[in-house]
Amino acid sequence: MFGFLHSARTEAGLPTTVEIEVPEEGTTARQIALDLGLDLDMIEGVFVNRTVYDVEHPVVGGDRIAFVPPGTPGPHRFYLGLYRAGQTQSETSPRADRPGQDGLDESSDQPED
Amino acid sequence: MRHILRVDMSDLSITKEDLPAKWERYGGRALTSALVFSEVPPDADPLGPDNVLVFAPGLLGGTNTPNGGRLSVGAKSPLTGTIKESNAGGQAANALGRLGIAAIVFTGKPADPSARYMLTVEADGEASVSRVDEWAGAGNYAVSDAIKGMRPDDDRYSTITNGPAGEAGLKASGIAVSDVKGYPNRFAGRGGMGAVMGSKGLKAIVISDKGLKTPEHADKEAFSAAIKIFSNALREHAVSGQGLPTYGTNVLTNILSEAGGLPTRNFSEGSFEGAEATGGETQREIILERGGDVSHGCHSGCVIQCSRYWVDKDGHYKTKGPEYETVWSFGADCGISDLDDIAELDRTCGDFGLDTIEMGATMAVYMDSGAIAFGDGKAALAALKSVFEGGEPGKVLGDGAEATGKAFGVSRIPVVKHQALPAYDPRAVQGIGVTYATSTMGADHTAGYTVATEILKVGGDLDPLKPEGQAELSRNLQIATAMLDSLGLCIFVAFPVLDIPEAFTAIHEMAEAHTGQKWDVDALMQLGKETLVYEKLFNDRAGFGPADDRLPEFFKTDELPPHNITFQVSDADLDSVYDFVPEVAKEMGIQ
Repeated sequence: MFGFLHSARTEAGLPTTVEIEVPEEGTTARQIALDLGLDLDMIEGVFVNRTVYDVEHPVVGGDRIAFVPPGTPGPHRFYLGLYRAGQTQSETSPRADRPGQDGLDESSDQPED
Repeated sequence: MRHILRVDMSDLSITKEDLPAKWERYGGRALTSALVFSEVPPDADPLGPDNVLVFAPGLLGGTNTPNGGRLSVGAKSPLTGTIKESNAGGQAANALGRLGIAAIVFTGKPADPSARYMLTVEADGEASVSRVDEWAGAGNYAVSDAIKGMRPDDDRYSTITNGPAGEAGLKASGIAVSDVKGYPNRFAGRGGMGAVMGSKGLKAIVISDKGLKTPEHADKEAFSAAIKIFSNALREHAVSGQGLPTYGTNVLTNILSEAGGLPTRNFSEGSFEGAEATGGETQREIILERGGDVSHGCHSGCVIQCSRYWVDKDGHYKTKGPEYETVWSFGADCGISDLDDIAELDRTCGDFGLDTIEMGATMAVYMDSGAIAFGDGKAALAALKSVFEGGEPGKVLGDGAEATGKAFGVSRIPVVKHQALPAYDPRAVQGIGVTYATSTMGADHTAGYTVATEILKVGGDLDPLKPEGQAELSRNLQIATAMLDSLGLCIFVAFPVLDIPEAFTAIHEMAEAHTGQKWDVDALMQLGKETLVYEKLFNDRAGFGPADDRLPEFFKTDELPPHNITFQVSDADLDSVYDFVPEVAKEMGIQ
């Protein structure tokens, strides 16, 4: 978790890099964010295995993901695809309420930050 | 009516002349490039009497435009051999703007190479040159303190100073400009401008603008309305209003490392294990723990406040909170993960007057030779100090990455037009590779910076790892950035314009309301194009050709982990970036 997400975690005494388990059929970055209690409005894009996508992108066991908040300076916000990811998100996914903790099977591990 | 102050260092004469009508729409980089193009023979020795050194505020300098106080420093560069505009923050530009000075132009060269001079410009416009031989070899901080002792207590002044690196003619030397607190820690860093200043015997410039108001606006009300909109956009936007003031540019360290584009250990890898330890988030936490300041602007009128001061373990000021580029150059590129080591290297460069980007990249090349180990911060500091204090490797380091690589037999030398690449690997971010290769400035990360929807023709579908569309985007970004550099605006104002169209509108409204001239989008882009035309033509005449608009070969052959990718933009695409030059040059009446 980078930028504001990083600070929000350290201020809450939580680690900014965690390993979590995901269901065998996979999940989405968005679901992971919700499960971790991250504010979706504070996510502009997500790195999945070093490439930027929007939060709807699928995530499977063994993946490495990183959440990027708004606030990336430079043309890099554009070059790296964060701008595009943020645009897609605001068009297609209105913020959902946080779900309960049921329905998650334990499966293979993945590192993320 | 803006005027030019000319100082001939051969006879110390000072003259004042009206800004020529043909340049009344120019400021900042447009003006420095027009002046260098017009007055410097392209084959001139950059350290000889035929080079000029120009300091120019932007067209909006001194007008209270938010973030409008950037300073352009122009000359033929001793590092690249091209025309150069080196850009700095600090207080000097707004002071010059309030004085009605469009540019200070230094020409010639003193007969006595041991002489040191200071130019003082008082608030009433009186300018004088005085002898300051006793400051020869003094660091920027010492000179700044000495000047403070000479000025009245209630003065308002800014300084432009040259450290020992510039005096020694080192190619990696930069020029220091004082910040809001008077520290000489803002830099016109790239391209060896300090060496040009040193060749003219100039050690310091003091500019007092005490009691001066902003220059008159053509339409005061319209100007006030526009700056309000602009200011609000800057404050509202996530990047300029929140991200930058909180973390500074160093928030990029973790992001670029994740993207696989953070050049690590002399461009051998794209991710650094020390990213978390040196990134902006950690930097902020440490500064707060030590009681330092985490947010201030580099010049009065800055709304973004992306700077900070780094303090040592006892809470004392050490240096300006190292920026992303410096944290990269002395951090990831050198394999160093300790922010205190990086801050010490930054402070040392600041005092000597050396460009931290060039020096970090140089240190990484030196480490690649095996002389000292990657990651050894203490050895890096000793090597840096050897430039002036004796020992290995000595002065050669101060001439930059290419000179050092050649001296120590290193094959991986990351430079374009002899200038070291900054903190983004072109294999992971192909678009910046186009800018590095084609910019008139040599490898430059700020040359193609300004992303605005008005200039985005590629609809946001660009893939950083693919060559498609990169050349066209780079062209538009370079033009728009040259435009901002000419207005005197900090390039960080570009961030809101990507999302808030009113912000871009406000830019041309401010320009129109202040100058009374037409400044729609086309006119603004024209300003950028004309600036680049002067620069490209100068470089052509100085002997630069398509072969110089290329990245070093290793970027095309060595795959960069973690994406395992090479630079793929074709030579033909690179050559297309400046294809607008012949037509615009014709319109301008220069060939």
